Amino acid sequence: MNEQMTTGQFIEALWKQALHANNVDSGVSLFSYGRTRGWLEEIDELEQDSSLERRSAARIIHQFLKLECGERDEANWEAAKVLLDLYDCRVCVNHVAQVYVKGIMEPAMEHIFGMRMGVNAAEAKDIIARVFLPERRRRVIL
Amino acid sequence: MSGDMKKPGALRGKEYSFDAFGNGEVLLNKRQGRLPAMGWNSWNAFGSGNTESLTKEMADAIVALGLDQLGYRYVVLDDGCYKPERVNGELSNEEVKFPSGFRALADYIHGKGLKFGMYNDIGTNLCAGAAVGTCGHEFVDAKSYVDWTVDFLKVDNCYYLWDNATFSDAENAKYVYAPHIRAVRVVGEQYDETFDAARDGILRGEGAERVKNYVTNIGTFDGTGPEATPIGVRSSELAFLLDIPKTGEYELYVTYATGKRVGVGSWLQVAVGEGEASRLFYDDFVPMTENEETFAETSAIKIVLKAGLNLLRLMNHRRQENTLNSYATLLEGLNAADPEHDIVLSICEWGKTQPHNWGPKVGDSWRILNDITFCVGSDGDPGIGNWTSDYTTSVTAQYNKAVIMDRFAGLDKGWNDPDMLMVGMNQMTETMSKTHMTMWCMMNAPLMLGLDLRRVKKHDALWNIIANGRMIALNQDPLGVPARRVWCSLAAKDPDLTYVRDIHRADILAKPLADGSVAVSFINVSDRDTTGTLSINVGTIVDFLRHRMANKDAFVHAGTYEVEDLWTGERSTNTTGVFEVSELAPCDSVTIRIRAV
Repeated sequence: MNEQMTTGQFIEALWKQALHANNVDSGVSLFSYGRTRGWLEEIDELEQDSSLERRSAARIIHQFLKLECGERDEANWEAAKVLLDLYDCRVCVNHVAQVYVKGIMEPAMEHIFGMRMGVNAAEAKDIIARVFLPERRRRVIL
Repeated sequence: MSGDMKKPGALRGKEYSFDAFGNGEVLLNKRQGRLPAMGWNSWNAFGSGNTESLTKEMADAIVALGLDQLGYRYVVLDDGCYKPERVNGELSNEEVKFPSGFRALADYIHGKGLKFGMYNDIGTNLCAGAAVGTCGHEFVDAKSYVDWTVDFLKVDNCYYLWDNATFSDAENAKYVYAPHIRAVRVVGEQYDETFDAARDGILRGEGAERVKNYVTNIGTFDGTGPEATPIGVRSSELAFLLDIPKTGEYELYVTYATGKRVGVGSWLQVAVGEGEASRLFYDDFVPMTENEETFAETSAIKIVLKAGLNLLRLMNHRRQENTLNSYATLLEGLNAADPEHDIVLSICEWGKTQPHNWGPKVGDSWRILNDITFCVGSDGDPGIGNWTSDYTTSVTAQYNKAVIMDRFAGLDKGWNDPDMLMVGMNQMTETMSKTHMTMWCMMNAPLMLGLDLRRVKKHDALWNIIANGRMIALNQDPLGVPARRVWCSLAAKDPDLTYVRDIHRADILAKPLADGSVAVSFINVSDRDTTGTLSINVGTIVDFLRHRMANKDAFVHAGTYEVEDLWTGERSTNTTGVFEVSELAPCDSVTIRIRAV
């Protein structure tokens, strides 16, 4: 369970859970569908065999929640400012802040989100479970 | 420059160096005389989720709402529009979001009488990750932009090779900081002197410090965050005053220790003299030392000294020079692609390298800080804008810095860019939005709308703010002089130069206009308190604006003034020369135009 997830494996696992949870049509092409809906980028398809970085996992999950599940952003993401590397990735800030305050992704280390660190299978399983099971989330709201 | 991609190359000329930053000259025939750009940019509205279809709808809306007639001309695609890798070495469109390609979209936008803008980066990748940055591809990409009839180019700074920018290797700090320096030895005919850096050295500028027996932190402040003022010299040098007996060639030996982090690097510059009369004798890496505390001596560096006093400078201005050179290379590429093609170059390196010092040489505007919001919207979600924040992500964080930067901007230079407008985003009240628009108009900031224009109806509250022609006229006034802060409740002295981050205050700004009139804004920056009476008189206004005014004498000597409130349209007559407002609500403002009668 400690092997690093590839981007493709993560997206497939997310989608599999979505099919299960939301009874979505399984006949559609996953990447094509995700890109059309806006929660996947072309780079996800291109780099589907590369190791998934935590910042990409945060983006995919946040966009999936917003665009596929219709879940609104938390307006108050002050609590995410405890992450010392939050502003290291200016286009990731909101993705990271949202998955953090919603309790879906935890910091890799104390006060460090770990933007470019990988995601192992066990972490991926937990992250994806929290997407669909709000009671599993550990919300962090100030 | 940047020939082999292993290290930044030699500066292409002295005119690209730090010592030429203040000479008032542009490079590569950069056009001058532009007013601040106005338009719509996709980022705050849709982030990476912008599409061809949405862009066309925004262009349609600009025309339908009459915004084009008010000056909003540029429709700019931000990050997220390219394929993630080059195709045959060239940029190309992301086919799901932009199926018709960029030229077709440009034609559509031009067909509406509007102008088409795009986005790229001086690094290897764009901020959202696509590996299509212009670094090393400047001429190819410039040709694409000209072929696509692009009129505006916003250029970011992620994944930059020659600095520790966002997503760059943190160890790139080695390029932009000098090593620790412990001593210098100067040897020549009948001369052999050793100088202790900590004891004998002169610390110039800001930032360098003596630690133990050496001097460290020789480089340029990182201005991405809101911590430091933009005023004054934002870099540091270690200098020695040498009294030399005889003009001639000398050998310099520097005792140093290298590092690869903020404060200590591995790149050293050695110059003699200052300003445009200076001469650069060394500009390269020095051999790496075992660690930051193990010192070594350079091999001989040949320098030329004249009889008498000489200023020997050890420094590293590469943070600014590298970045200038990268933007210059892109401008050179655009010139080569078609020297007649008019394209606005919007520098977006987030204030990191103090671009107000060098940006006027190649760019039409330069961002002054990191982003104004990180909570960008998507189709159906306006995103979030804040009035205040502890970082750059708010109206006031951007305003606090921009408001004291008026001296760096003008028709002959370009414009400070405190980022795109957040009017229309969630949490931005009507009052906040009105004052936000006021600030940006008064400061001559580019006016780039960042909202989904399908949410706007003619004459609704949002439209009334973004389409206030009287305010836009200030921003686009042909005199091209940004407002100066002439009074600040928290800066009794030098309100025009003092960096104040505490928002619980009131400011008064004054802006001279081409017809001889002056616009004055009374601004309650606080989101908590109401102001008392705010007052300014003609004498104070003139003291601060002076030679920047179109007709100072007429303004000073008028006995009567016609006063127009630029938000309500109300007109009145003033015979006292004292202008007042009372009890401004939190975040509120009043702006008047004062004409001498």
